[in-house]
Amino acid sequence: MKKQSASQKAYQDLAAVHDRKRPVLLNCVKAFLVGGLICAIGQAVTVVFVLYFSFTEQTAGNPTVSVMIFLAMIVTGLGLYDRLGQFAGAGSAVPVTGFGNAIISAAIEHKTEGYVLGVGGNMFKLAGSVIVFGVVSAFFLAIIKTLLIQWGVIG
Amino acid sequence: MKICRLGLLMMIILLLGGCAVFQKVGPAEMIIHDGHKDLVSSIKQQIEDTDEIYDTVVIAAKDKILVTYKVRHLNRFKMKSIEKKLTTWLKDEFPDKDVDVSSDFKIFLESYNLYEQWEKKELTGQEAEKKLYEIIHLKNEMT
Repeated sequence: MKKQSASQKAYQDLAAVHDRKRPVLLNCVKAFLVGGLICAIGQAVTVVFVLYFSFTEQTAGNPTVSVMIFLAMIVTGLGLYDRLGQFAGAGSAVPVTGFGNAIISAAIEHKTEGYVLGVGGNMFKLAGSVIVFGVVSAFFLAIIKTLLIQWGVIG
Repeated sequence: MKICRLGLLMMIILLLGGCAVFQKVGPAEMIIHDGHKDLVSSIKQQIEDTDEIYDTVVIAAKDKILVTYKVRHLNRFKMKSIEKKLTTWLKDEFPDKDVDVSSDFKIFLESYNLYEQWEKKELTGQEAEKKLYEIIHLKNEMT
């Protein structure tokens, strides 16, 4: 926490008294339910891929992720995902669908600035960090795993 | 509100309908090439003795044997160790045989289809063997 002067602290205390309490537990329950529902849809997509296409349980993961991101993009474009986000909070942002939402909502927001500098330049404003940290951590994990296998620590 | 409720009802029906996909179909075995009878029955016995596994299909061709099974839901966290136990047992018992083990649902489904077609005598031995190779190829695919 930042250092506060005495008057600042007095003001914060006063504000805390009048502040409305956050319903943390209720928010957690909502996020849990909605996040679980999104994951159930994802599982259904996986089952469809396994049953009707030649994917095994192991290989059905990648197309499922793409489909879920694509669905989230469409729902965001229709303006429904923000409502869900307001209701569920992290429950709608933590599953991979939040990634699609981050891309499209940024694109919509910057549409007025033109297609090249606006949409194209700002599309990955939020999602870019997901890609960067995902790729970097995958890189380091792969190096660590390769080394451990080379040294025979893990099979 | 009415549409909402209707949608919820549809979703529940669809979700419950999905259960039919995963029902138990019973153990099955299929021998394309003769001379593997003892081997298949001993593999089946071993699998039946393993509590964590149900619904098995064992398919034996001339030089390849495919064992697929479903893992009981509460034991799915231990899937890797169950598979390892089974493979080491198979290696110890039949060191000169090429046995593929899989707990993947898709592989189970395909091999059960193959078994059903074989039981209905829709396939010749050669066709069945070709299908078995396709399944094994699918199993070894990683991406």
